[in-house]
Amino acid sequence: MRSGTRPVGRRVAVAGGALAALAAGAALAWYYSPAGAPARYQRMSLVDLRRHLEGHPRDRVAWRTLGLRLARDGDALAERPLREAFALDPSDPEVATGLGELLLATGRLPEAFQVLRAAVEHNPDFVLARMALGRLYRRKGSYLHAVEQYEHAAKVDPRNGDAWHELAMCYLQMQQSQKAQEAMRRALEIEPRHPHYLSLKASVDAATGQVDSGIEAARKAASIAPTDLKIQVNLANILLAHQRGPEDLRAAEEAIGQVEALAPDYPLKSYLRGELERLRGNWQVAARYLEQAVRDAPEQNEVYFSLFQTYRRLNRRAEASRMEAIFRRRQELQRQIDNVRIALGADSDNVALYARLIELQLRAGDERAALGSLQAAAQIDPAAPQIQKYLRRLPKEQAAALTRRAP
Amino acid sequence: MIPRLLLAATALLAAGCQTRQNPSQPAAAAPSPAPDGPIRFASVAAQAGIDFRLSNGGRTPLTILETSGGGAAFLDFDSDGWLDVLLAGPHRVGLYRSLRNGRFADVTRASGLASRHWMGCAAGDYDGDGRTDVFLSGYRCHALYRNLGGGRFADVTRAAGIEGLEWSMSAAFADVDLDGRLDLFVSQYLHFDPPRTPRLCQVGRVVSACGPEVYDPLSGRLFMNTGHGRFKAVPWKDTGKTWGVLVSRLTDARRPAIYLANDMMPGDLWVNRTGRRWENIGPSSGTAYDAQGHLQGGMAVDSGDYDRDGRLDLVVTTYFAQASSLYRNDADGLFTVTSGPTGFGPPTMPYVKFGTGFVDFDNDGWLDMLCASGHVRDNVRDFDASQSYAQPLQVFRNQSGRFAEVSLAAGAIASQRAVGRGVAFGDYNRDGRVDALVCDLEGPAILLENRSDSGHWLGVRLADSGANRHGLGALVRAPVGGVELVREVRTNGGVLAAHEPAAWFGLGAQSGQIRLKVEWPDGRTTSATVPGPDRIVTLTPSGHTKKSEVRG
Repeated sequence: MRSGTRPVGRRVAVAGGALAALAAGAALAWYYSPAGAPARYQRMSLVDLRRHLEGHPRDRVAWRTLGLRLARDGDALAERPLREAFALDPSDPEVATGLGELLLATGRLPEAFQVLRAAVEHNPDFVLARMALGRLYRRKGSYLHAVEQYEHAAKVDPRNGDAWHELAMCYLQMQQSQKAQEAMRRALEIEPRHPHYLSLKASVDAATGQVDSGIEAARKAASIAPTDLKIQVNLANILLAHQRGPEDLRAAEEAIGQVEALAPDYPLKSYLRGELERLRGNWQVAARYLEQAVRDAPEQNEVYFSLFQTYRRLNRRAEASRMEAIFRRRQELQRQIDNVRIALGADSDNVALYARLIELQLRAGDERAALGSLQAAAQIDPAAPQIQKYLRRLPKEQAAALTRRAP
Repeated sequence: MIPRLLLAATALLAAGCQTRQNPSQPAAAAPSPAPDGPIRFASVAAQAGIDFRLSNGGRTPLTILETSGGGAAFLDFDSDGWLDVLLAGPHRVGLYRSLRNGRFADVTRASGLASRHWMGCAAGDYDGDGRTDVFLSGYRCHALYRNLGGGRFADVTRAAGIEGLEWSMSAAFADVDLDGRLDLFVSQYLHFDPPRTPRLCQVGRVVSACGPEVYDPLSGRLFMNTGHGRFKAVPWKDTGKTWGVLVSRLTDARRPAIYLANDMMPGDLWVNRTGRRWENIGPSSGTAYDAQGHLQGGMAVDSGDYDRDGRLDLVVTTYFAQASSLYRNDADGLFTVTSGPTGFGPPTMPYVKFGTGFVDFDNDGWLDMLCASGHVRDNVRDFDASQSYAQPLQVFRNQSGRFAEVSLAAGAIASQRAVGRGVAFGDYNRDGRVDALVCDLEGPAILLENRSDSGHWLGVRLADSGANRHGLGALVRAPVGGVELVREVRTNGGVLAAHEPAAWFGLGAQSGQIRLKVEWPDGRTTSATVPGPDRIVTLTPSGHTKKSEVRG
């Protein structure tokens, strides 16, 4: 019986070989055809890809591949290839999202908005674009719109923990506590031990008066991610702001120790130490730390308040008065800044409001924030006299960069 | 930095549920009450004959003006020793005379009190004729009503020189210059003058009441009593946007201090050490902000010695997402925020808190607290489904200086929802347990009869000659359980409210003689011995108990 099967087996083997050869040929043909371009370009070195594009400037797939590869590495050079790819096909969601993310990272918000908006319009269920657009809105303080994006992302992909996490962040800012808690619950259902989710849950709980569970979540996050600075700082802050007694202060001290070990140059470490000692009533020690904190983090108003209160306890009246004056002046400015921001939330293209915001931020000594506001205003109307006034103060290149708009 | 919610961020609040709801409907079904706890109340307004109701008639959205106001007072206007009731709010006022059996008769019509756009009330015998007079604050209206006796009041505002008020809120009768006459402090809120100022604001996708940040503050006014029924305003400029006023001996100075609970502005603590100049020590005392120096939406304010160290501490109720601030008095004009360590602050965060007071509801010798809440945006549910216009009442039991919320085990409190504003405290049925009267801006007034398990008690009233007949501003001290308890006799405090001018001591299990010490406002100190607990006594400066009524 075996001998009788040989010719059949041979035929099968021959047929198989032929098929394999055909398949290989087809694969090779596909690989070098336009359809195989993505795979081909993925395997090419960046230098080869660039060289290829010199000869094929309208090869959308090559631009796309180059742009996305560079963007993945966080390379600013990704912009040009992504722009080229986007120009050739504005409906490509990955390209639009990559370009939007890059523009967002470099602070060109109006253009990032245009690109991401287009991505979402062409591909309403492309989650990454929704997430990026949500981030953009959040950065502008438009939490209402950010929520829309994250809600859509979470609806399309309910297992996307980041969407729920971001949603919770927005709700927290909007003081919608119940929704923030629900979003956090969904995020933690997906990844119960995600330290950033736990850390945000801690903030949400603390902000709604659920101090016990908030502190528990913050401690859990800190134990899961002992080397994450943000998480350790969050634990220290929550314990100091909501301390229930000496036990919490001891735990805060440990967290502050961890912060100091992780980031010896962390600018608020003296403030945390000073606040801890202030809460313990160790006024002399607190004063020393807080004086250092004023030097390390002069833009933080809480530092002046703590030092002012500490000086009062030490009966150092003149110094207390000086600190009080600084604190109250800064707080009044902050109050005005908050009010302008609220007004901008409802009228986000109002250049006059931006001009007022810039003026207040400069008076508060927060040049970085003022520059951000100037950039936002310059993107709306760079010719507005109120904006020109500030742009003229900047070096030419910087002013030009701020006013560069979407093509 | 310490995470901080963006307070009163009107434009950032988002639209949520768009369905129209009854504004006073709670966001969720009231939680099931727990078994009865040691502090319990029964809601008895209807049985007691108090049918006062405020309402905006279901209109929505309401403005900041329409969601403001709602005052309550326990006062003995007919001087019969039984507390009567005064309620005032937008376009309504109600005066109810005690029938001395736990019931009241509506005597508004014959009283001469007019209905105008009232906010709240203050009570005090400013002319020293032995009859309690009334001040009503309001929007573009205010009135000083002199008690003529026989249940009649006369509007003497103009003749008394009370003027220059635009939107008055809480007011306080107190002898601030220690001349023996009751002066009048009237706080003011903000400049609301549509169409020159906005009526409503865009809140996310919803139109709702604007936050206070949109308007300019108005300063209060201090009217000094010059005698013969006349007052004279003295130069005064406070921070403004004030809801609650307290005149109390918060510092070691002889003169009382004035605390102003200001809405998203620093709280003011005014002291007058020399008799010449008023100085705001709010920031330096540590009472202007929360523990980290953040502004808070100050609503009501009261003082009481919650930790039994002999000094009057301070409580300030606040806006949603802010813990109500409890300030421990450390002497020398310094206070420490203890909302966290005492457990009082966190449970208050979900609500917009208004009327409050330190009261020993169960007469165990430790001051408890009651707090009424209600949002300042009637359509808050349209942009935050977790919030509601009407909110729960909260009761906190003081357990050796730590507070535990016992609302769900407090009888009627557990299921009560209201747009709570002013809350008055007093023992209207004279059973030795202090009751509460809550003004609901969107519903009937709530009379809460205290039915707590009670220890022994002592009620102290003061009787003085001269213009300050009830000894307002006096401190009464009594040794209880090895510590000296201190209580202040005053009608002011809280928000838009006036309280019974008496010192109530919870004595717990202590019986036998009680030695009382009274520090009168003018500096005199007298002592008196009361034969036993469970009675109301009236003390005079001569140290005699004028009258002793045994109850219980």
